[in-house]
Amino acid sequence: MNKFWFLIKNWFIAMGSTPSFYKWATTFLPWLGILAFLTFSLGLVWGIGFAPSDYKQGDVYRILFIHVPSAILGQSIYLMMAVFGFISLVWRAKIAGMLLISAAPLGAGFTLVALVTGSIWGKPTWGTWWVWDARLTSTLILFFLYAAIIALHSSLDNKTKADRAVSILSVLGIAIVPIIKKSVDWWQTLHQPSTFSLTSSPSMTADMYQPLLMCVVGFYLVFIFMLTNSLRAEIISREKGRNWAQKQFFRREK
Amino acid sequence: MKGHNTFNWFKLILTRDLTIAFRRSSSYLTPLIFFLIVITFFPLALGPQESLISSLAPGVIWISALLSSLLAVEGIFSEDDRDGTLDQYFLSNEPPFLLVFSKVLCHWLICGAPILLASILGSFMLFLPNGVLVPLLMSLFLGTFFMSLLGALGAALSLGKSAILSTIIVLPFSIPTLLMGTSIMTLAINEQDYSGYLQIMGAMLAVGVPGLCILTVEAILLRYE
Amino acid sequence: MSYILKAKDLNCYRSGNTIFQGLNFEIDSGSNIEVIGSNGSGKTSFLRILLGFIPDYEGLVHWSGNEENIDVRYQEKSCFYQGHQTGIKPLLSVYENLKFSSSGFSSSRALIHDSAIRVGLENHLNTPASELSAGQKKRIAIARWLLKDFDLYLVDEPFTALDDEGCDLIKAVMSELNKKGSSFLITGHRNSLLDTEKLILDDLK
Repeated sequence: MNKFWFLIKNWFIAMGSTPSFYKWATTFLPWLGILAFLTFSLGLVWGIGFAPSDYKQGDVYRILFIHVPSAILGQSIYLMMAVFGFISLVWRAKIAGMLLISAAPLGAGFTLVALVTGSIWGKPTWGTWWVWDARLTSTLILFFLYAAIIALHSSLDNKTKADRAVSILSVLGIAIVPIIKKSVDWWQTLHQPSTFSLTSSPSMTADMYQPLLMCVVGFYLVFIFMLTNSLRAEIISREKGRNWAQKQFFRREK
Repeated sequence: MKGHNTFNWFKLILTRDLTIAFRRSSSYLTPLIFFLIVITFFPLALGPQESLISSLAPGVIWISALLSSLLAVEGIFSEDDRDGTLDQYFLSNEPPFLLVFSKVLCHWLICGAPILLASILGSFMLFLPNGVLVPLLMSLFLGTFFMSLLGALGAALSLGKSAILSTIIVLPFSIPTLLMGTSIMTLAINEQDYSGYLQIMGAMLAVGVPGLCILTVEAILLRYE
Repeated sequence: MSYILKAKDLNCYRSGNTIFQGLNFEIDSGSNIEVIGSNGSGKTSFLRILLGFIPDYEGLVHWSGNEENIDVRYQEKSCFYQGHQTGIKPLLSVYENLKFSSSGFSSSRALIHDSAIRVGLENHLNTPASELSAGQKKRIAIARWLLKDFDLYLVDEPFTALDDEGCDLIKAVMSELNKKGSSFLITGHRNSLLDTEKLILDDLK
């Protein structure tokens, strides 16, 4: 048992160094990709193609299989970025900062997908492309939070400083996200006493729940795949001058 | 005594910044005029009917206050950074938290306080129902101070870059303040109890002063990495 | 003799380039050192390492009164620093620039007046600094040195943009302060012909 924890601890420490992460990522990436693609497509095909129709919303509700996983990912990625930000600030782990900034566009992308699919869902069911309900509004605000992080990082030329600046922002963000959610809820109830939610999920039977679960897992795997890929690219772009990269790619000693 | 020195240092920064700000009348006039211009744009764009404008009044005042507060932060740290004064602050071994707090206080005095006064004018221009002036001022006081804190963080993170960048960074974090401030106004107009929201805004300020100032110090220290 | 500041085997690297290496020096009370180097030789980086603004250095920097071997950022430094940009605020008058400096805030009106007279700015006490010439602005900076006594004055390029009279003024002020026990570490890009120890950075690439 102790040996097991010892191995895990060593793996974490090894992952902190960029050359070993790069090697690990290169080996595992194809397998990760296959697994992600399989789960993702299986889940979507099952849900959109084979799950039973909802008695209230008909077949339109199927967009939920894209919308819900995207929304879940959008929020958990932000939480994950805040954790990386904290690690980067306190322990100054270079790779935590790189993980943060690689995850940011992915999180923004998933949030955008959630917004667009939410909008598409709304048109047939409620008649409008957009409505200011609590959930859509919070998702929109989350998108702006992502945009702020991406904008700040791209404006600073020294990428190490940019990482730390963005870590500060993400730590602040995670502190304020609950407050934002709560205040959006209050704002909704204040102006529209009858709470209504555009994207209220239909009551789910097991037949619908299982493909949804598979979609969520598939989306997570796709995210991890894309994150690893993006991180590899980030590592190379930042460390191409260093010895290990020179040796590996250009067969040149520095 | 160390404590006496530290307070003197705090007084020094505040006095110097305020003196410089008041020498240059644009420092306190610009946010004020921007505030009034934005307020004017709404009736211009939407038509001058009293009923329409009156219903929009709290939101318009709050949005204008937010935007003017956030856009006015540009020079907070960059001027000192450019002429070497920032180095002196860190060399003096005094707590940098006080440096940030005095900058925030100075910014509020030249930007937030005039906006508070101008909002009285704005409330007449926008036909705000009478009797809600007091909640407006109370909520704006808490809100603009929080904005100055956020603005200082934005300015420190984007040191030297454009003002708009620091605004984008910070604007999403000001959404709770906006929502709560306008909710206070809506409740006040309907003669309901708004003290709960005021307390929460006050609590955000109480947590924000130490929390945001410390984060701002971290952001400025990035410069010395 | 006890030293005020010393550095041993100091190496400075910026963006992968070696700025200087193997720098050794020691300053005692009442003596001066002049650091000479061409543009880009690292004079400002050198000063900033001594002050703890650049954590990326190798070697030992030791301010007296501290334990050896702790990072220079955490050492207590009793010094006066004047950087390349002198920090003179253009909107404040000469008197206010002196009053609102950290050395001057607790000084009496009389002391500030005396400092201004010493550098020849007694007729401009209430003129905004923006209306003064570059040389006169440098004189305000010199007046700041007189407001409070420090063990060590670190001044980055004091002689730049000064005419002969100004240079004489600096030399006179420096020897006055030396007699009181203060030391100066100044930088410059040409030999100022001061009778001090020289440290030539270009030789230390």
